[in-house]
Amino acid sequence: MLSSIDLNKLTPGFSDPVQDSRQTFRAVLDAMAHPGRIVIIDNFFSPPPPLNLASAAICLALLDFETTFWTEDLKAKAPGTGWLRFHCGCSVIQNPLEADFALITSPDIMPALNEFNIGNDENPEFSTTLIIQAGRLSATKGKRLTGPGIETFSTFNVEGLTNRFWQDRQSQSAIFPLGVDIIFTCENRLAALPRTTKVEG
Amino acid sequence: MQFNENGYTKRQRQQWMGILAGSLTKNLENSWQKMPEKPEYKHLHKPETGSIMVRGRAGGSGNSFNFGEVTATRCTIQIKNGHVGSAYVLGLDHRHAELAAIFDALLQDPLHHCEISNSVVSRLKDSYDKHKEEIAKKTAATKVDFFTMVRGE
Repeated sequence: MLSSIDLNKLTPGFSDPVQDSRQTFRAVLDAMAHPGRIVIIDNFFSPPPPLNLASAAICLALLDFETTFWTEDLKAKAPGTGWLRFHCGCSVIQNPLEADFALITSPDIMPALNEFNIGNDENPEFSTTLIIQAGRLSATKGKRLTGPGIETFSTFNVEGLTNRFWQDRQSQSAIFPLGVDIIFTCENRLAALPRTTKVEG
Repeated sequence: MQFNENGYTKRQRQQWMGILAGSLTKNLENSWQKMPEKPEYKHLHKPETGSIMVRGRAGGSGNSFNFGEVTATRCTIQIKNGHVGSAYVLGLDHRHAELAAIFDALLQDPLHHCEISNSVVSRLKDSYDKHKEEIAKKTAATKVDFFTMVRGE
């Protein structure tokens, strides 16, 4: 399987895998605990396109041989997919419904949220975690977020998402505690929208 | 036999990877130090140690079973012109894995293949074969032949 990856074009991942994974994990934890907060990944390496630094770092930290992974371009020759398979050893799967993690690089044409794994009543945590590479993240104007981890409310906006996405997200509140958790990334920045957060506006 | 675009077979690569992994670190280091021009390289995977489940068949036949875990160190190197070399070596020696991966990358590069094959691998192969033979002899001395006596009528 590995032979189908274009090895000669691979670039290195984390320069210090242990420390860098821990710092990235901490960043994701911080973002998940404070929905809408923009967290910066303080690291530098060159992931291949279409991956941005934050998505690549999250994948390096969270994906391994036991996690299943879905993205738009599944071909091993695709630079981003080959790179993730080499560095994480994750299994790339065809069906988003079975994915532990999904990376979306073109949010304008992404599948509906219910095409991913929403977990089941016994194990809601088995759902897919979506990493969506979006345009600019901003915390000054936009949607109004309330819920666990937010004292009163916070404002949050992501560029490049469709109205359908926000409608999908809205309809997920009906199936709580099932549903997907989302991490938005842009360059070296990330913000999370876990299923517990209520979005208005 | 199927040659790839760089002019070696899969079997050949398996052989040299085996020799590099099975040789002593000091022999690899010697060969490396003797190289007049050391190639530039970077790590794709820095040397890291983990465990591998070894499977085997009793007597070389029958179903394979989990024999036990071994400690192994792996490393993946990319040399300047893009060739990628990998090494999985038994034990904890990071330098061993690193050198074996560098030589594996160089051996895949048509520019270096002959030089490394003649100056490094063939020399390592002699001591590797000798070492293997010694182990085989020691092991053979402990072999037990089971047989069943036929009871008299």
